[in-house]
Amino acid sequence: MLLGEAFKWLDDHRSGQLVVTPAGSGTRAWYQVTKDRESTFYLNASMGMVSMFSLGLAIAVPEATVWAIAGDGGLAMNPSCFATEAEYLPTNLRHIVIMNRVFGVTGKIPLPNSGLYDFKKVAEGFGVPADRCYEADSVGALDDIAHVFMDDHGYAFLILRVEVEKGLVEPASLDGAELKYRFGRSMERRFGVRVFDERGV
Amino acid sequence: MAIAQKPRQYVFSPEVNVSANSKLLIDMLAECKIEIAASLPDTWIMDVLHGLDQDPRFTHIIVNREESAIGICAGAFMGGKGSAALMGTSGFMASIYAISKICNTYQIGFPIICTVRGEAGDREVNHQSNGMQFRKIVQAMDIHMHILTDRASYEAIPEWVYHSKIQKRPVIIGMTSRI
Repeated sequence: MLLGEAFKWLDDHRSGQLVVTPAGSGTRAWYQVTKDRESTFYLNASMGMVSMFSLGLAIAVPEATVWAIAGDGGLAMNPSCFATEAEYLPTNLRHIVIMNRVFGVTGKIPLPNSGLYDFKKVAEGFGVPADRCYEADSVGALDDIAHVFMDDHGYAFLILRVEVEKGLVEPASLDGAELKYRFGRSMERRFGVRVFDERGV
Repeated sequence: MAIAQKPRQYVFSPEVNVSANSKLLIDMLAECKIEIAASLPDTWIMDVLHGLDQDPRFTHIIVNREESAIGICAGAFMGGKGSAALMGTSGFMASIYAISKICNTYQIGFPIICTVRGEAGDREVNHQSNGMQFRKIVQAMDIHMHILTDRASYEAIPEWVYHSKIQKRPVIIGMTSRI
């Protein structure tokens, strides 16, 4: 499965969920598929913070469901995020990891040990229940677990196995302050929360 | 905030008494509408963490890495909820990338309640090395810092929390000894 195909599937099955994306290639691919600048927070190059940022968002707005789309390189930098997730198992969080086993945007350099990681075991080792962990390596496999993305499913960790595509990935370049205000204003409109005051503070 | 699918599997030790100053700090955070606290402990702030955990005004999230606390607070900010990260000097030193990459890139401000180790009176040998560099690094990052001393300094916390919002970057609320 190509990343674009996986993201197309996710976008087709998305019904208002908030999305947080990871470094370069994931951010760029999600933007190419969705062109979303309202309900996606492109958390570029956070070095493993996608799921924790998403957890903060999910706790702050229980009415929203958050899809935290991390990269395998980033997740390997902060695997203990699963311990905090396991403690709360927030019903409105889906932790999705793109597993392509390379640092995509920075030249497709292989991850250490060729990225042969078993994140399902890692998640379970930190306390995420086995029946909350899923894998998909094709669009058909995603179809089989479509229920995971329904808002009433509850917490899930999903490994998306994708192929390394040919060609170098152009880094995504989206201005941080612009994203903050677009996303925050969208949150205010959609959920009635107050992110900024009348001066934008 | 009803987010948990399961209750905590452990309880905080009842042996730790929350000091009057820690209670004051917690009340000041509540006054600022801070509802989410993410922490990794330092002995100087352990009773604050106990107090936060027992206080229904807060959702207290314990992390294994201080950068995670920065990430959680930044996410909570974007959801419109006040948040605070609590950590020791060492934890702040381990959080520099998250602060510069997440908070500075996206202009997100919140208070970091942080011990200021390595000052005269700190007798912990293992904290001296980080303490030697801490203030210089804080200054280099253009992070404003408010040191808690007397009652008036605690009562100034709301002004400093607002300062983090208007500056669009974290501020440090620091303590140079056990609260």
